[in-house]
This record gives sequence, structure tokens and C-alpha cells, in this order.
Amino acid sequence: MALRRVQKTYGAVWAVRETDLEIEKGEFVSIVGPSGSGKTTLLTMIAGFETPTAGSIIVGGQDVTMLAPNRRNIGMVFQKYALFPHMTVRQNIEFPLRMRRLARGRDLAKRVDAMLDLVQLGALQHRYPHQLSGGQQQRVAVARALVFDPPVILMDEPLGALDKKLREAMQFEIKRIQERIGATVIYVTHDQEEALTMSDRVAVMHRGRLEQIGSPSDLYANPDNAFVADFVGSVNFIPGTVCGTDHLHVAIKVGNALVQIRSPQGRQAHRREEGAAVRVAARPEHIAIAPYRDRDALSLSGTIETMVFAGASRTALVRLHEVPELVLRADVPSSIRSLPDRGANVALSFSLDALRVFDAEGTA
Amino acid sequence: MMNIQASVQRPSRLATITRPRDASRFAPLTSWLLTLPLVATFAIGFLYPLAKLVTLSFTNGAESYIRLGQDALYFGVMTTTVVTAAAVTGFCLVLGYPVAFAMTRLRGKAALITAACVFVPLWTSVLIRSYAWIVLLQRKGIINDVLQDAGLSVHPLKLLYTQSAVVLAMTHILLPFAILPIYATLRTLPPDLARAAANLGAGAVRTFLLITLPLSLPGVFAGAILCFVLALGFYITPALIGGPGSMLMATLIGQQTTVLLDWPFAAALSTVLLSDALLIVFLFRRALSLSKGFHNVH
Ligand SMILES: Nc1ncnc2c1ncn2[C@@H]1O[C@H](COP(=O)(O)OP(=O)(O)OP(=O)(O)O)[C@@H](O)[C@H]1O
Ligand SMILES: [Mg+2]
Repeated sequence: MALRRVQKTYGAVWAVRETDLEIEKGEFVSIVGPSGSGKTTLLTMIAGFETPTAGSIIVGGQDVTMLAPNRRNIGMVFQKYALFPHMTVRQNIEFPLRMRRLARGRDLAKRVDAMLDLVQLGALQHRYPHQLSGGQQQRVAVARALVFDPPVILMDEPLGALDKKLREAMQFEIKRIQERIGATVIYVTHDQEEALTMSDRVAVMHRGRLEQIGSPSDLYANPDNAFVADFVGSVNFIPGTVCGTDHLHVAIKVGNALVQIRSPQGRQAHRREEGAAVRVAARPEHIAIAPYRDRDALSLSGTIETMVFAGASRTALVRLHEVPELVLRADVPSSIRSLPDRGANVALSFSLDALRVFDAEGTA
Repeated sequence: MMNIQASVQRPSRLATITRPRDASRFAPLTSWLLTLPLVATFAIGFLYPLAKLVTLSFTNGAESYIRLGQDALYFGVMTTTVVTAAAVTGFCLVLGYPVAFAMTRLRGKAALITAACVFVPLWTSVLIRSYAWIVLLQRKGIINDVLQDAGLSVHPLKLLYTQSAVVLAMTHILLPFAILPIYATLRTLPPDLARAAANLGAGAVRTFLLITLPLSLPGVFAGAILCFVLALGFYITPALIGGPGSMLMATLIGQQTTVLLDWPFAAALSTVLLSDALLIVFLFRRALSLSKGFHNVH
């Protein structure tokens, strides 16, 4: 499946800017992005409810840009469920099988029963959608989109209304069904964690543009820009100025201390130039907290403001001495014996390989 | 709404006295006091005359009703009235639904023009619109002229003073009452429902028949009841356009009150017409609530 230079405008509003995207058969691709970034619009065009202002959409080698939605074999889970209010749960799930004449009689009943079991709604099958909770409605919507085994499934935040436990169970189910029927899935979500755990590849959208697409680990470790770094996982941005460089490293002046990073290459080479205003991006797990007396020429220092308990680890919020208006998040493994106290001064050192550097704010 | 907020923020003395348990609601006494003006108007302007009317119909015992039941003429008029009202309702729905449907789809200028075409007749007097039909339909009227000029008929056709003319004119006049409730319902349907139907494999026709139409039925029923009840009591149009052979109840009642001055009999006729209307509305609502699924649409 492929999108070629697809774009969409509503009047003067750009909903989706020129977008290219290739998706392999059977691949699970998530699209993440803030509200209004064009995720739904992109799905709407793939499903055929809106025609792109320009560009073409290819599914299974066939150009479907102008094909009516009911002639495309694409299942969709809508952001607002779109269940038929005058039909029971069961009738809703039967609908695609009847419309597509895929099954009748016994066979139809069997397929619907299997689907009801899968989403654990067998007991509620004769209720109307308005008699269900948000999460139950969402499961009906998922069941209805999966029951006819479409080769391509679009999901617009299908699990947004579920509690954490049920969401994880459904994530697992969706993955399982997807792998079983070998469907290609495009999965829109606000929840970047969900995207990272479920997907083969994750695409980050921002203001109608596809900022970056890559495997979860690639996206996490090598974000193309500050937006992606910030959106995928959590990250600290430390403003500084490039003040020295050799073949392999760049030294960045933060306040009156120095931070060393690996020299950026390629498109980012301009960030090596002396005097360039940059931001160093450091993920919380790449910042190590050490006693204040252990600080050296390449570490920063700060005062612990708060410790936040988060299960396997603790997160320390540390106010930097070098840039007093900045509070960094740093993970402290719980296994560490002597946790620093609140108000303690500490040294902060960075794992050299994990640091990234971006242009200063406003220029990115 | 405004009143509720005001009383929540600045409790008046009355609201303090009749303080509700739940601050977002009025105490029963306050609610009653607020509806009092309406209740009073309703009682004086509607219930009292109605009671008076029913009493009046029994001035000579049940004599008026006996006469009504014995004379086939009156039963005939009643039947004509109901049949006419039903026909008008049917035409209004059939003609009005597509217009309402189109109104939900149109944008910009086209939407504005369509809305104007629906609303402007509503603001024009029924009398004027009835006369307009006379101008169109009479022997030397516009339609006969056109037909003869086009050589489609040799002699002018008798169009006016027929039952069909009455149905035609009444349909035209009542059309907005069918369009507006249907339009209101169609507009509340989320566009995602039709999209979902298409996505699941239904073409335009099946999407309409299986999703849009059933979900718009509450609006269709509302429009039907409005048209039907209004048509039952139509007076001016049938009086002007209908012939003597196609007399309707309202005309008959008018005749009894103003020409024959038989008020008890007129009152009996009115009571029968009213009961008819009530009975049909009741049956309609029953049918509506029995057909599964509609009560949970909105
Ligand atoms: N029918 C429309 N008419 C005009 N503008 C629209 C329309 N649909 C979407 N837009 C605009 O296009 C942009 C992208 O909208 P879209 O619904 O695709 O966002 P989204 O990424 O799905 O957001 P969310 O996460 O909140 O669902 C928004 O700025 C929105 O206002
Ligand atoms: Mg959306």
C-alpha cells in the first residue's frame, strides 16, 4: 500500500500536506501526533470518504484514489465509534457480512459468535449501543471492522476510551488478530507508548506533515528533529552554544559548564559550527545522578526538587545550577541503595552516545 | 436555563424559602410557580372553551350525536376529511423528504435558496396562497391557457373545485411542516454513520434504506402528525378551492355555526373531529413506540 504525494486542503486550511508513505503487506504502522495534526484526515482519504486534493492512493497495486468507499476492502474503526444506534450489538457486527454477502445462515451466526467471544461481548449482544459503556461500544466498533477480515484495517484511536487493563488486553487481541489474518493495519493513537509497543513502524505527524517514520527503536534513539524527540518518549532539552569541535565530538557550553556530544553528521552538520545556538536532548534514562563531590569537567550540577515514584524506577526532578530556570527529569534506578534526598546537590552526567542535538527553539 | 443559573447564583427570597435539595434543580413548588402563567393561559384559553364546547354539544341531550350518526352525509364528510388529510400527509412526506435530505447536503448559496423556498411560503398568508391556486387552476387560468396553447387539450379542463385541487393546494401549504421536522432529524445524524455503512460495504441505496431512513423516522412521524392534524382542521383552502361535492369537516362546522346557527350540532361535529385527531395521534404514537429501536435513537 502506498500514498503518493497525497495532500488535502479544506478551503484555506491545510489538513494534510504532501505526504508519501509506503506500507508493506501485513505491516502494523501507527500514526501518532498531537490533536489536529491530520491523522483522521489521512485515514479518511485512505478509506475513501474524502478525495485527496492532489496525489494518489494505491492499495494492493491498484490505484484506488477515486474508488467509492464501499468498493474498497478496507475496515475502519471510527474515532467516535459510529455504531448504528437502531441496531443491536449483534446486528451491528452482522452488518458488514450481510452487505458484502460474505456469509449467511449458520456460517454468519458462527462468525459473529466468534467475534463476540473475542471482544467479550457475548452477554451484551442483544443490547443497543446506547445501553453500553464507552469501552463496550469501542469493542463493538473494533469487532465490526474486523469481522469481514479486510486486508487493510484503519483504526482511529480505537482504544482511547478503555481503562489501562482492558486497553492492554485489546492491544494484545488486535495484534493477535492482525497477525492471524495477516492484515495491514494503520493505527492512529494519541498514546505514544501504545504506538511503540504495538507497531512495526511509527509515523509522527505534526501540522499535517509526516515528520518521521521508522521503527520504534529507531524513532526513539534517532529522532530527526526536536518535535519527534519530544513526542516519542520524554526528553529534556538543555539550551547551549557550540564552543568547540574536533573530529568526533562537539563541546557545548551550557551556562558555564561544558557538555560533550558526538559530532552530528549529514543534514545536521551545521550544528557543529562554533557559536551555533542548539538544544541538547537527553532522555531521563540517559542522565546519571552522582554525589555532588564526583562532578567533573563534563558534568552539570543541580539540586533535587522532588522524587517521583514510578514503579520500577524513580524520577528525580533536578533544578540545574547552570540554567536555573530549567528542571531536568532524570531516572534513578530503584536498585540504588542510597537515594539522594530532596534539596541535595548532585552531579549530573550524560551517556555520550545517547545525547542528540537540535537547533535552538524557534529555529527548529 | 438563564433563570436556573440566576437563582443558583443569587438565591431570591422565594428560592430560599423553597430551597431544592439538589442545587441544580428547582424545588417542585418553584417549578409550578414558574409554569403558572402558561398553565393559566392554557386553562382559560383552551381547556375552558373546550369544556364549554363539549357541554354545548350535549345541550339537547345526545340528539346532535344521534343525528350525526344517522345521516350518512356527515359520515361521508368525515371520511372525506380523513382521506384528504391522509393523502395530503402522504404527499407532503414523499415530496418533503427529498427536499429535507437535499437541505442537509447543500452548502452555501444553494442551501440558502432552498431554505428560502421552504420558509417564505410559510410566512405568506394561507388565504393568499389559496387564491394563487385559484389563479393557476381556474377555467381561464394559467395552467389551462398553457395546456391549450400547447395543443394538449381542446377545451379548458375543470381543475378548480375538485378534490384533487384541494389535495394539491393543501399539500403545497403544509409541505414545510413535513420538511422541517425531517430536516431537523436528518441534521442530527452524525455523518460518520453513513461513512461507516459505506466502509462496511453498503452502497448509497442500501446506506439510505438501512441507516439514514430508519434513523430519520422520528422526524418523519413528527412531520406526519403535524401535517395530518393540521389538514384535518383545514378551513380556508377547501372552502375556496373545493367544490360543493368535496366538503370537509371544517367547512361543514363553519356552515353550521355561521349560516344555520345550529351551535349544539356544530359543537358535536367539532367534538367528533377532535376525538378523531386525538385517536389517530394516539395510534400513531403507539405504532411508533412498538416499532423497536426508535425510542433509543436519540
Ligand atoms: N471537514 C473539515 N473542514 C475543515 N477543516 C477540517 C475538516 N476536517 C478536519 N479539518 C481540519 O484539518 C486538520 C486536521 O484534522 P484531523 O481531524 O485530521 O486531526 P487529527 O490529527 O485526527 O486530530 P485528533 O487527534 O484531535 O483526532 C485540523 O486542523 C482540522 O481543523
Ligand atoms: Mg482524529
